[in-house]
Amino acid sequence: MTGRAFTKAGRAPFTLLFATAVVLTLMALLTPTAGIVRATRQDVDGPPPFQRPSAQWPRTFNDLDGDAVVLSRPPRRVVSQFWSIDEFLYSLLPPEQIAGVSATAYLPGVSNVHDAVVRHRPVVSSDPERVVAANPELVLVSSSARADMTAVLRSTGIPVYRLSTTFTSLRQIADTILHVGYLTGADAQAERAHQQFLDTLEKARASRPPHIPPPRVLGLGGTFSYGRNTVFHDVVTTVGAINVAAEGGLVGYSAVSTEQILRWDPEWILLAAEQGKEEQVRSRVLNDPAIALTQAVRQGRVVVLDARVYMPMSPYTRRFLEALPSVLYGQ
Amino acid sequence: MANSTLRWGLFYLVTLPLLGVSLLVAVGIGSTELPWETILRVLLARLLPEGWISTEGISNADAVIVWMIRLPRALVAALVGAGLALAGAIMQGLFRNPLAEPGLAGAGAGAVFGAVLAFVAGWSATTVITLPVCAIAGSLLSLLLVYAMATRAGITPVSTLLLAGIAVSSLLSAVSSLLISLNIMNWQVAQEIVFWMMGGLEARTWTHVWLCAPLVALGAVFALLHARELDLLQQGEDVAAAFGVDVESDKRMFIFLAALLTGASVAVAGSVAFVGLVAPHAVRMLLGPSSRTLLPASALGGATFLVLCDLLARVVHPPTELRLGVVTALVGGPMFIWLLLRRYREVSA
Repeated sequence: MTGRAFTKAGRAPFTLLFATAVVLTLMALLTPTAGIVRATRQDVDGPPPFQRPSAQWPRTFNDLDGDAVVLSRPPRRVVSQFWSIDEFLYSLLPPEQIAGVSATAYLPGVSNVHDAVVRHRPVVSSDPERVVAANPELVLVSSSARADMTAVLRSTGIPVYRLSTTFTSLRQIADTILHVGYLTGADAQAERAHQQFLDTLEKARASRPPHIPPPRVLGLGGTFSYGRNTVFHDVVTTVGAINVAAEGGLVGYSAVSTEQILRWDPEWILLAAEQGKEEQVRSRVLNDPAIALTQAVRQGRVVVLDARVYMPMSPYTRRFLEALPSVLYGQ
Repeated sequence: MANSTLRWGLFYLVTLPLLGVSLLVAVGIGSTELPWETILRVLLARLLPEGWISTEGISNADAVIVWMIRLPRALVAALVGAGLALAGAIMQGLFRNPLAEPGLAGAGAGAVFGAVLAFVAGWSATTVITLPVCAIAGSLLSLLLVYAMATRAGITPVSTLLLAGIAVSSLLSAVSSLLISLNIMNWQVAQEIVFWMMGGLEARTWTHVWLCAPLVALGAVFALLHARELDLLQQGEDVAAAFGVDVESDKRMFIFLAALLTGASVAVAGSVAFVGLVAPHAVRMLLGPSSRTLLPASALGGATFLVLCDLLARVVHPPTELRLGVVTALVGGPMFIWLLLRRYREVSA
């Protein structure tokens, strides 16, 4: 690298800076697409349906990274490092077996397992030292968990299993019930919970009275909505409603403008809020002059659901499947 | 002369043991209780030949916590502190300005850009070294850009280097912000990025130690070997040239060393502010501006400062850890103001 080699480039520093800005901006704009492409391939098609292993132990499972994790017996102490995995575990295992949970589990406003964790006080699993001290026999991490965190735990000899937690359909949630159950040796509980989930799905499918046309529903999370390839879309269509965001061409969880909302003119707007913050959330929508012109606002159909019910991305999604028909059809 | 030797001796007499004690305390304090005897036995059993120290009664979890979680973290803190302080000392010498800091050549912003790219593209979830490697690549890319922009006819004026560094830093920071904003809907990734950008040493492994140590060592050795040239450059480029210094070549080398040290540090610890500014500044006020003294003393001071800041980050608000970059800014900022006021009073007197 000599001074002469850069002389030509040095003659036009501003050109170079401008060209760099253009290239980097293009990279930035394309990179999320690459991420979405990866997510789409993995999550729209989804991970393949879970194959039940044999009833015998040891069992070998291949995680999301393709790493084989061999469990010689049902793990007696399990740690979760992600909020939705917390809920899978608590719906399948006795609380004493859950040695660690995500920090979100301790948030009463958003966690479906808060009461259980407060009673049993598992460690917060973001701290590797506490996880190691808890002597787990299995640690479940999410698809987006950082490699250095999992590497620390793996280097201590603890089996770490990366689960797909980017759900885009109810089938994936149902499958994950089985997956987590068979991983942790809770085979029977998993089959029961899985059947319960399917039964709730069936009931939700039959919930729309034939005389009521499909209601047009918009789900809002701040300035974001849920298009095709989201659990929200799957729930809404299962109960016989129309997801206006998907109808409007939205794919995945994406930002929406008030202009789009006005054009879609939903009959129902669904929001989520922690207890005590419902009016705050509702008024933010009602006070928007564009959204105020939609049918949903004019007809008083802006519904704020408890944040714990609104799309928990776990077996607790059943609560959303049960709540939505009562909201839309008065059941 | 005797006075400066005495100061130099006192400095090392105080700082070396302080670093040792800080490292020991950093290994001794964590989020779980461990008796000191257990900690010392684990350390000695690993460092001394097998069989010399009995590990009977020490559980695997305790040994793992000491050797694989706490010790790498403490060592990374020391290495990053040393690296940033050295980079700061080099930049302050090169730019002849005590307010210069490691990120001036754009290396810090480049490392952040590389890391943010790794996060949003999902590479950070693949292997341990992907994130730091992307950060180092980003810092070197930034250096190349800065150098290419600032060099004309084989000459790289320091003032142009500074302006190019600011321009490239701004550009890379903007692109990093663009990446974050486009991915904000993936709140977990966005949260990881924001936390990383605030600096932190959680989950640092021996891999991070082995990644950072050779680069910091390389930077330190080269900087020390060329300490004389750095001193001469501080007197002005004409003066340095008159003393036989190949000004352009040495400037390139120092910029590269500063970028390497900064990139390696940011790669394993995220953005940690003030270490590169405060440590060399404080050491210069104590020991004088000679690079031969300043560089190793800055490294030692920076290492001690960061180990102590990391300790503070862990104990102030348990069980939550404060972000390391926040602590260094909260501690370093007032320290720097105090140093400036003291300097102002001395100059006024």
